[in-house]
Amino acid sequence: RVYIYAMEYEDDVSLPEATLSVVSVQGSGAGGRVFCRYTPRHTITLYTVPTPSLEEDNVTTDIHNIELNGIIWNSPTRKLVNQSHAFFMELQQMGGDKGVEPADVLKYSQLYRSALHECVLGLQKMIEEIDSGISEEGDEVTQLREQIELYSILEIAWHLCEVLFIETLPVGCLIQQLLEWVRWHDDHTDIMLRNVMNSSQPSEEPDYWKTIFSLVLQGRVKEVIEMLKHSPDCQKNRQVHNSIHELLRKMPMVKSVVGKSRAELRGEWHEWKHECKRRRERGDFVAYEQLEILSGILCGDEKCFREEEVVESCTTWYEMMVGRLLYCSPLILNTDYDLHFTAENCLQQHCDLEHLGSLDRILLTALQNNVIDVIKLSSSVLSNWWFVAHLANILHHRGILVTSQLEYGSKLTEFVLVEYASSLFYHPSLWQVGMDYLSHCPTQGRHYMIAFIERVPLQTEKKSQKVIRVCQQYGLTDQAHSICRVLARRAYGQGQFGNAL
Amino acid sequence: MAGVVNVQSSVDTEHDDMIHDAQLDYYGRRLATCSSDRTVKIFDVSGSSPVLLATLAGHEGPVWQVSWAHPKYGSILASCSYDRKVIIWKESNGTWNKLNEFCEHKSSVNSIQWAPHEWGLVLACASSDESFSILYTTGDGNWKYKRQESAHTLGCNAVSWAPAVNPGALLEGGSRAGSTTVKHLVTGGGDNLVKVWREEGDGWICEEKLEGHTDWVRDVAWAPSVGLPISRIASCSQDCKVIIWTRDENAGRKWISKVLNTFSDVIWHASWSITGDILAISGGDNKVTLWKESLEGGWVCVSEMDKGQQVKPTQ
Repeated sequence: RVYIYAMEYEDDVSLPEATLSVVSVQGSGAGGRVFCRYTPRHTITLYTVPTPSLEEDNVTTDIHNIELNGIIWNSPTRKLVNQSHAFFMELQQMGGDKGVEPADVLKYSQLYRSALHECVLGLQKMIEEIDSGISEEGDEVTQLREQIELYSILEIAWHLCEVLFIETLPVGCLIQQLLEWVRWHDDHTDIMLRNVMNSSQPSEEPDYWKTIFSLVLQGRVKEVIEMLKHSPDCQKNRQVHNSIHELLRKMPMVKSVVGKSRAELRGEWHEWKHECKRRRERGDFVAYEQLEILSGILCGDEKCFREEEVVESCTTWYEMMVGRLLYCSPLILNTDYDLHFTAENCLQQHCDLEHLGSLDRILLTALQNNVIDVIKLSSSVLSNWWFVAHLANILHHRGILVTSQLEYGSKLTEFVLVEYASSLFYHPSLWQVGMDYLSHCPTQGRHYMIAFIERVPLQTEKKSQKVIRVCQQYGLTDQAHSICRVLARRAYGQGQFGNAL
Repeated sequence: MAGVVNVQSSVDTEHDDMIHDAQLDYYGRRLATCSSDRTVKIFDVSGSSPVLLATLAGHEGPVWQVSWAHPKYGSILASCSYDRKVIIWKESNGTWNKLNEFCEHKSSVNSIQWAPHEWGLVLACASSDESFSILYTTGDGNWKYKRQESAHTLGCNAVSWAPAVNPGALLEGGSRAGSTTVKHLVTGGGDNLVKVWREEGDGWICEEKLEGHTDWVRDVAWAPSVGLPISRIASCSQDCKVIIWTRDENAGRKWISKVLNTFSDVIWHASWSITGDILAISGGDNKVTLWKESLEGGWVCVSEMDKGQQVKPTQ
C-alpha cells in the first residue's frame, strides 16, 4: 500500500499521524520504494521499485497516474461545472463600484444551489440507468453513490449558508427559512406520512405518532391537524380535539411575518404560548400521553423534546435543533448565542462527537456564525474545491467574508479559486473554464494561466486556434508564440510547410 | 482537502524488470518508462486505455531516467543508463529512432534533464564519474558537449535546471529569458552536497555549495517559477531528510535552508508541480507526501483519514 499525505509546511511541522489517503499498489510490500513524479496535468505518477533484497516475484511494473481532490467527471458534474461557470462570470461582471446588490447575490446563490440539485438528480438518474440486472454493485455504482452523497451534502450546506449569510431576512423570518431548509432536504417524513395515511387505520400504524412529532418539529401544522383527525383520542373526545386543533391552527410563528415589528411578533408568540400552557395546565390532554407530549412541545417544554418518540422522529440533529428553536426561540437571529447553543446541544445528543461527519462540522460552524471557519473547514474536509471556491466568492460579494483581519485575508478567496481552477485543467475541454476563473484572481491568476495554458494538448486545428485565441484574449503573448512554434514544428514534420509558415 | 484519490489511468508496462523512472510528456498524453530490462517504453495514455507505442532498445544496462524535450522541437526523448550512455531518441511519422548517442562518461549516467526550452535543445547529464555534462545541438544536426569535471566526489547523482524566467522580473506579460539571463542548474552528489552552478563563458562556475545533508544526495529539483522573485530548490537524501533551499532575489541573494521534514527512510525523489507550489516527495516505506506552502501560517489543510482507494491490477 502506498500512503499519500498532503500537508502545509510551516516552521515546526512534523509529519502528522493522519493519513491523507491510501492507494493500494500491488507489489509494493514493506520496504518497497515508491517513486512519484508530478505531471503536467496536475496529477502525480506513482510507481514502485522493490528493494533488491525482496523476492523478485513481487516486482510490479505498473504505473499509476493519480489525481488528488479532483472532480470525478461525468455528465452531471460537467454540467454543474459549466452552469456554475456561467453564473460565476455573470456575478463577477456585476461587481462595479458599489458591489453587487444583496438581492442579486441571493439570486445567484439560489442558482448555484439549483445547479447542485440538478447534479444530484443527474447522478441518481445515472444509477437508475445502469443495468439493474447486475446483482452486485460494481465500482461504477459505488462511485456514483459516493458522488451523490457528496453533492447532497454540498446542497444542504450551501442552503444553510444561504439562509444564514446571504439572505436579508426581516425579523421572525429566520426560523421560517430554517424550517424550509429542513423540509427541503428531509426525505423520511414524507415517506412516513404517505405510508401511515395510506393505511386503513393510520392511528394503528407504528409510525403514526413518530410522523406527527416529526411534522410538528418542522412546523407543518396543517398536516398535523389532518393526521390528528385519525387519532382515536381526538375522535372520541370532541373537546380534546378542538383544544389541540385550535392551538395548532393559531400558531403564529409559521404565519406571515411581513410588516410586523419584533415587539408585535414577540407579543403574538407569548400570547399563543401562554394559551398553550394554560390549556395544558388545565389538564386538557392529561389523559392522552402523546397529546400531552405534543402540547408540551408547543409550550417549549424541554422534557418533551427529550421523549424517546420525539427524539426518534428526527433522523438528523438539525431537525431537532430547528424544532426546538421554533418553540423556544422563534425570533432567533443568526448572531444569537441561542442558535449556537441549541445547535451544539442537539449535536451532542444525536451524534458521537469524536466522529463527526463533514456535513455536521460545516453546519455547526455555520450556525456558530463563523464564516471564515466555514471556508477553512470546507477546504479541509471536502474532496473537491467546487463548494469552497464558489461559496467564498459569493460571500465576498455579499460583504460577509471579512478577511481584512487575517494576514492572508486577501489571498484566501483567490487561493480557493486557484485550487478549483487548477483541478479543471485535467479535463480535455474545461481548461477554458479554468482560464476564466484564473482571470479573476488578480494576484496569482496570471502565473497559473501561464503555467497551464501551454500544457493544453493541441490535438486538433480547431482546438489549437482556440488555445491561441485565449492566449490573445488574456495577453499571453509569449505563450501564444510558443504554441505557434510547436504547431509549426508539427506541421513541418508532417510536410505541411505552408502551415508551418 | 480531504485527499480523495482518483486513479486516472494505470499502465501495466510489462517491463521485464524494475522500473526506475516514469515521465509524462509535456501535454500529459504520452508516458515514457525505463527499466532495468534495458528498454525504454512509450505509451499513449490519452485514451481510455493505455497503448504501447514503442519499445526502445539501445542501452546495455539498466536505464535510470528519461526526459521529454519541449514539443517545439518535435517528439524527442532522452534516456540515460548504467551503461554510461545517454541516448537521444526522436519520433518521425510514428517511428522512433536514435538521434544521438553520447558515450563520453566513464561510468553510470544517473540523471538527465532537458533545459528550459528557451535555451534551445540542451541536455544536462549527471554521472557517477563525478562529472556532469551539457549536450547541445548546434542547429545543423550536430551535437556538442561541455564537461564539468569534479562536480561531486563519489559521483553526481542528480541534476535539475533553474527556470528560464528571470526571477527578479515580475511576470507581467510573461517576460521570458532573453540572451542576458544566465543559465543556472543544481546538482546533488555522493559528497552529501548540493551545488548551484552558473554558466560563465564556455564553462560552469560553482556559484554555491549548499551543505546540510549528512549522506548522499539522491535528488535535487529546482522549483518552477511561482511568479515571485524567489528561487527554490528541494534536495532529498540518503540521510532521510528533505531540505528546501530558498533564495530571495531581491534581498541579499543568500540561500537559506529549511529542513522540510526528517522521514523514517531514504528519500529518493523530489518533484515540483508545474506551478511551483506543490512538492511531491517519495521514498522508502511506501509514503508519498505532498507539501504546499501555507498562507502565512494561518491555514490548516491537513486532513483526516479518508477511505483507501483500491487500485485494480491492470488486466
